[in-house]
Amino acid sequence: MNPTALLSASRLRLREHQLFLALTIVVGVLAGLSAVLFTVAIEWTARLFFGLDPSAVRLAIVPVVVSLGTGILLAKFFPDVRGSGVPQTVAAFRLHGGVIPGRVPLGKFLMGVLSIASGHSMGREGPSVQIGAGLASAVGRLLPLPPARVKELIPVGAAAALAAAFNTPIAAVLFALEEIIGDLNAAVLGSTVVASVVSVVVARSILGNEPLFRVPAYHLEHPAELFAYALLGVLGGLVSLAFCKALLRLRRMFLDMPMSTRILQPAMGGLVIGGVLVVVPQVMGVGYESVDQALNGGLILQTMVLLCVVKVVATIVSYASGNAGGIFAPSLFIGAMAGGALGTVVHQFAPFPTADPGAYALVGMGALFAGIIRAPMTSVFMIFEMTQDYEIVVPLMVANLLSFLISRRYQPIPIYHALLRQDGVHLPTAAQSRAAAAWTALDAMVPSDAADPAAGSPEALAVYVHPDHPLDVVIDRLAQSRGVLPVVSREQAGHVVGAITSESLTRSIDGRRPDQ
Amino acid sequence: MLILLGVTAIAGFFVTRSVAEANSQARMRAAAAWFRAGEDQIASGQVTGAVTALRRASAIDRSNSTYRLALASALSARAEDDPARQLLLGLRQSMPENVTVNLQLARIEARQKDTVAAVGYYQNALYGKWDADQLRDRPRIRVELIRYLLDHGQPGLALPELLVLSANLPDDGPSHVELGQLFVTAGDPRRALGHFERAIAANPKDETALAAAGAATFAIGDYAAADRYFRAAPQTGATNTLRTVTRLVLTKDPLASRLSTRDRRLRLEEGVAHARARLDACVPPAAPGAPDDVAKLAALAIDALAFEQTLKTIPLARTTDVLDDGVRLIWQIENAAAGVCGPPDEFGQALLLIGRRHDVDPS
Repeated sequence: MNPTALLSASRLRLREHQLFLALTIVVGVLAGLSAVLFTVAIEWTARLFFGLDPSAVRLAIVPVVVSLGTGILLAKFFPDVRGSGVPQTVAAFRLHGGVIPGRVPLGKFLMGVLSIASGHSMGREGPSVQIGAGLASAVGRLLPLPPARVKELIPVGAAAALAAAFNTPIAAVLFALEEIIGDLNAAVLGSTVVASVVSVVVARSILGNEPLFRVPAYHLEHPAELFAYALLGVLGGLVSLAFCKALLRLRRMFLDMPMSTRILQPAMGGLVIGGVLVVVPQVMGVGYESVDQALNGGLILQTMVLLCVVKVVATIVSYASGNAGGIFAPSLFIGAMAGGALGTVVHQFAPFPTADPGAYALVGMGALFAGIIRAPMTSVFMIFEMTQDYEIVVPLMVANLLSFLISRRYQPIPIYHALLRQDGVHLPTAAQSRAAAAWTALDAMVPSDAADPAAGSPEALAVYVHPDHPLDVVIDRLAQSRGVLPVVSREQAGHVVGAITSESLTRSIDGRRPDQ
Repeated sequence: MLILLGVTAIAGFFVTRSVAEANSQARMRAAAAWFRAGEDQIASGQVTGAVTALRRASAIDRSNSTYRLALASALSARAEDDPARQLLLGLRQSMPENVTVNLQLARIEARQKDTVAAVGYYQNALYGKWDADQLRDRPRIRVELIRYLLDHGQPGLALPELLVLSANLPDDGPSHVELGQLFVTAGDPRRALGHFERAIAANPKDETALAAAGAATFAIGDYAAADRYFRAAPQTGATNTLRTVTRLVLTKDPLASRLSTRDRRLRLEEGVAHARARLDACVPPAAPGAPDDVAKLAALAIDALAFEQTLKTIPLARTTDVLDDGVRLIWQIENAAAGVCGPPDEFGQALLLIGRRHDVDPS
């Protein structure tokens, strides 16, 4: 290639990078705004539904009445927005080329607000992820960006939304890498970081910079306390396991019901939730007020045990019945209660100095998050960013690790992947993903002597690939070619070494030789 | 298209900010309503309901320290010390000199029997930042600290606070009496007397001040003054013993000034007779192997008998030669008997004080 062409190509790449950077910032702003609006809308709607001090009748009726409406809307208009939104985002990234239909973020916003504000025991962070990713996908396709770039925007939008929702930029980036992409060394790390920072700046400029929870400065009182935190990790793993298995089982039951009942299932969940709220209103919605109490030693043992159990049941019912909401916040709630309960017992009976039960509630949050969501790195940083308490990091890591290992041992498929499987979506395994990442055009190429003679013609060389190009580039350019994609040597400009067709590509992916 | 997106983002920012601001104001109104409900419930004595309402208020408006402080107070009232303490410690991080925060922490630590922490917080409260409308409560808080220190055996720490209090005290009788009584408890009867005298000067018929002044002068050892105060004070159960002992000290001291030799002799004989009667009432016959204190009493009984004999034989004019020995012997007997036979009666108390008055007490 001559120097002028090289210069033009590099200028083109520079402009593309600049464009993508600008787009990352725009996505960061939009995702941040959407997360803020989502939070505000939930609060406003909850006040509208329940007022200042709701009566028992109101607590019982609102969930089921609102869920009747959301059931209709979910069935008729927004079938893709049930549940958390994180599994759907992962599927969009790994299987659907980053395409999220435009109605999805809109529907998720609306349904999420209605479900959570009406008292369902669900979180707002998972929906924020899907809304942010959906906005990013819509923006990317609107411009339009190449499919590969649209796909790259998914974790960018997801991380930005989560960063704003939780006010945790670092954890949001890690979550996008751990959970959405599944690769901590992803190329989009830089964009994800930029978008997270931008969205957090936007959110803080509107909502302020208060940490999500006010927590005293807890620290390790005695080295022997690590055994107590290890025990908490075991408890966290067992509770995570129970939660995941029960959720999957109940959801399976709902999915196996006749299709005609799908429209009523959210209301069935609402009926149960209404009854629960009459007795234990603390499990309504995200429940951060009770978490704050547990973190500050404001709950007695019996209350924490009760809230832990009831929250597990309520969340499972809300989610399995098909309402729109996430499981981040419930995980933190359950963890805080379980940790606080264990901490109360430890504090009373341990033969060595121990921290207040609030410290155990804090670590419990992380342990349950690691056990249920299966994102241990995200869990550590998230707890740190939410509470700004670094002293508790070592116990947190111990408990997180044990909870994660126990949960993984007895529930090998992570909850989000398992939920997708229940919907008939199978994400590639880590081995398959690694194999796909190692795949190049050379693997699908039919060599020159067996290639299509038309491949080397000047018209065909307008679109081509090199032998080392990865799978997504090959797919992208094959779609632009006329069915035959030339493979051109990098060393010898214009020298066609082979060709790729749809058939050779399919055979390569199936593991056969491309020319067979 | 990118520019359009940018414009959309900017417009979206302002719209979102407006919506968020409106929501924030609605939240603040809700928080204020919960706070008012909590205050009303506190006023009507429903502390449990108040805790719930104040919790809602502080959860909604987390930056409002007034709500959190009110919640901490309500939790303290329900003896929920741990969550109250956490709240207060959190508040103290941002307001280390706040009087109310430190005072509530002091009371919590006092309940939890952490004396060092309690005293520290009390002092932080007293030397913290006082609002103008709080200043009138400062003496009362100082008295609270002083009482706490005295109740926990820390008179040394209480005295400086008492001195500060006395410098800022309202000049009325009841205040002086209260302060004087605190000085007495702290072991400084002289300063206490000064305050009692001021109370008496303000109201010569102040019976409490008169009785207290009598007790203070008694403690100082000025029995003549004590007698004057007790005569002016009403007779009550609390002061009767002191009044009687004072009279006995003044009327049974053989070494008192301006007494005739005869009177001295009579008083000495009375004292010895009482001491011997005391011994006779409580000392068993000394046997070989008896404890030291019993043996000592037995020896003193022999000395008392010998002294009585001496008194019977020496001429009246030589009474003064044996006065000191007599007073010393009486003191020794009464002191030893108190250790073995129980507290002395009023005459015995007077004899001990007489001995102390004339420096026969080796301690």
